[in-house]
Amino acid sequence: MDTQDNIKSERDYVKVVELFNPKHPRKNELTFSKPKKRKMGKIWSLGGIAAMFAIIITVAIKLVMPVSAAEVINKALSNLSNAENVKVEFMMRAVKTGEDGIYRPDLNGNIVNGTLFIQKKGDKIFNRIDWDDSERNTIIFDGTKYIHLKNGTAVASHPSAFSDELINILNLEHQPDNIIKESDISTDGNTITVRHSKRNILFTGEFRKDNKQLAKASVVVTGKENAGMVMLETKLIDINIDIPETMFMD
Amino acid sequence: MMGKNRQQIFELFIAEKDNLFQYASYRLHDIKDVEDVLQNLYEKILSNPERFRNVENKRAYIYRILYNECTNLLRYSAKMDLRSPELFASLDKETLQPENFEEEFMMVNRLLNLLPPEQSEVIRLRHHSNLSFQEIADIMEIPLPTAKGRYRYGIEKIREKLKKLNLL
Repeated sequence: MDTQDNIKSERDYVKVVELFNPKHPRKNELTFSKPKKRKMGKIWSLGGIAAMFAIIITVAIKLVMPVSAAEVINKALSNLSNAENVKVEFMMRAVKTGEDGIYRPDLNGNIVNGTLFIQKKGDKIFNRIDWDDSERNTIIFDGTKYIHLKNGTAVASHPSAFSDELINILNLEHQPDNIIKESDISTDGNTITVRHSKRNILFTGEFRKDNKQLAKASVVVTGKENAGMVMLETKLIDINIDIPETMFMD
Repeated sequence: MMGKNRQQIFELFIAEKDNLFQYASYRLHDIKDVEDVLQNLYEKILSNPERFRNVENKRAYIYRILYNECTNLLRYSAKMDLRSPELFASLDKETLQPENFEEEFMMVNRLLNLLPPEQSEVIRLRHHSNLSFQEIADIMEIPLPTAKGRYRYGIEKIREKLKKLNLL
């Protein structure tokens, strides 16, 4: 009886396997030959909080603005660009993408706090994000690969182009001209605010006149649904602090 | 005039395009999404041919990016939810004999959504991308027996569910 059951089970197993063999596959006419406009917004495909800061910074630096504001912002961005070390504490509404330790912005996600560290050594940019979650996830992009740590121990590593993407987006020549036209700058006392809207998302950068520093950055939803929901907000931006190189190793 | 690196990337994509296309089709359904994701993938690789040249397992690298791109697109778009238990319970023998791609897509995803992602992914890569278990293990960075085990557990789980509905 057992043998009969086994034979039946094995037959059923094969039937299930058979269900997944494509019987009506689509005809593939893709050529990969023509460059095509990307449908997905780059801000979502970068997969990192650092990219959002980079967008805010890049948008700001490309703006046509009043001279006084321009001086402050350019100086602030110059300070930030030239800083060897940058530390940013932030909160983000996000979900974790599987077991890779990366959180992505998501309207339906929960608030998660994190600390971003950026270190520049020559042409190389190192990134590290420490997530304030129960697993104590940390992700590191050391210029050539992605490293995932849990509670200080490396659990995964693979090649990653993330740092290259960050460098590309920081490259001012890559910023489309229409962003300049779509941005808004205002001055209030010691604060200069740069706002840029894109796809129902408002990016905001606040600069301080006195110390010529980027003080705060945020990403807020502006669409009909979930308007005003904060997706990302910095709590602290600190430059030229001491960050040991070992923080970017596994 | 295409550089040597770019020419090699182009040739790799042409050689792999049917497998990439079917994988994305059975995950995303919308043909425009499929084309966008694959074109984005191609351009992403092409944007840094030097880096790609240094990647040891190029196929694994491409499929990992494709998986992530598809997952992201599904997350941020309001696609129909095929995970509902009611949808599975409403399966019948007719559903299991699809007559076109649309019906087949629905069936495949209703079945695979019963499984945890790590099991459904192995089944997708095996059947829709026509990859060997060794290649799947390389892509998912897991041992070969784990890849085979995930496939077996996934198929078994679906078999048991279908058996309960008297569909086998």
